[in-house]
Formats: sequence, C-alpha cells, structure tokens
Amino acid sequence: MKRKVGTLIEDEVMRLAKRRAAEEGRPMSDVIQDALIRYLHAGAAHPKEREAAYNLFCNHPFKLTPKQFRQVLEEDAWDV
Amino acid sequence: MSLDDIPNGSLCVLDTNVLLYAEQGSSAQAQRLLRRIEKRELLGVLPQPVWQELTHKLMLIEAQVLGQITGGNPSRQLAGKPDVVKRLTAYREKVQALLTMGLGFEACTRSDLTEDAFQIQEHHGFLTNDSIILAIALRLGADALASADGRFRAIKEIKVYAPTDLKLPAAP
Repeated sequence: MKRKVGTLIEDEVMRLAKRRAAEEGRPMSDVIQDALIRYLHAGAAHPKEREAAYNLFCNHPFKLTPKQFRQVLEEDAWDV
Repeated sequence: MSLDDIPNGSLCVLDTNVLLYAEQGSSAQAQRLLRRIEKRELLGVLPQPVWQELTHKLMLIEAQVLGQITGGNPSRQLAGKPDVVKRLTAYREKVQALLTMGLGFEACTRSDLTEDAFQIQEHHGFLTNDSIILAIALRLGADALASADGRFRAIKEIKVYAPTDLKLPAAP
C-alpha cells in the first residue's frame, strides 16, 4: 500500500532525482523509494545470514524441562 | 488478536515473553512472527529493557541446561558463580542471532523514563520496565505491540497482539 507523504527535499536533489527518473522512464516516486529502501537496508545482513540466524534462534532450542521453563518465565529479572 | 493478525508493513515492538516462546517452540505464532521479521515483511524492534531481560533469561536458561544452577531463584544462584557466567556462550549467540535477523535495538531515552513512563505508571499502574517498553513503543509510533502479558490489553493507544496458541508447561 502506498501513502502520500509531504516532505522537504533540496532543489538540487530533486533535480537529480527527476533526471534519473526521466532517464529510466520511471515515476520519480519509484526512484525516491528505491533510494530510501537501499539506505534503510544498508548494513543489514544478507538474506542467507538472516535465515541462518532465524534457524539458530528458533530451531535449536535450549533443552529445558517444563519446570525449568516455568521458572524462567516466572523469574523477575531485577530480583537478585 | 493473535500474532498472525499483525499486518505486513507494521512496525512491531516485541516483548520478552514472545521471544522466549519462539525460542522454546511454545508458540508457532511467535515463530512465524520472527520469520516474517527475518523476511522483512514487517519491522521488529526490541526496546532496551527487552534486550536486557531476554539476555538475562537466556543466560539463566543456558546455566540451567548445563546443570550449573538448579532449583529456585536462579538469578541469585548465578550471581554467586561469576566463573560459570564467564563460560556461558550460547545465550550470546542467540541474542546476536536476533540482531542478525534484523530486530532493531531502541535505547531508552531520558524522557522515555522521566516523562512518558512515569505518566504511564500514574495512569495504568504498570511496573517500571513495562512502562518503559510502552513509552518507547509509543514514541516510535509502533503499529503493534506483541506480548503475552495480558496487562497491556488495557492500553488503547496501541494495538496489542498476543500468541493464542501457547503450549505451556503444565503447572506442578
């Protein structure tokens, strides 16, 4: 779902974005969205690393007894 | 509403219990939520108190599994065994895995605590950590709070989603 947003962008940046959109024959909103997605994902792990991380967390549980798990759930982390 | 009802594209704040249920396989909904975050179908964020509590509880779990602590009050037992704490490593890998998966880390600011959390405590009577979690979620403009803690359902400012498929260990 796309949403209309209002924001302020420098004239020069807008000019470059318009030119890139014209060169690629795409709406300017697509160019801005692509740039934003790349920025937001910069430094993020590769999809395979993310999947491996999911598998480590969810598919290799610590082997707790039900009683031990209950104790941990009920434990107050600040009560030592 | 169940965890499966959280819409794609949401900014979702997760509570510690949901992560523990996912790790232990006690809730398929909790695991699916993490899978959706891993696939970037929605954005998951953990406030600082959740990272701290989760780290602490996973550390206790690892120590229990290794037989280093037994019986009641595991925190107090482990606090008395710093050499054991030094040797624990698996819990750190689990915490690191959540970061790699893409879960965000949102620190607690001064105003989260001294303005918003205090106000939440005054209105709702929540304990400090729950109030901070909620204050951070509201500051972020989160669309969803995923928690099995029924007390959060009293909050009107944010939609609260809970696992409805828990397979909990039976009480003794």
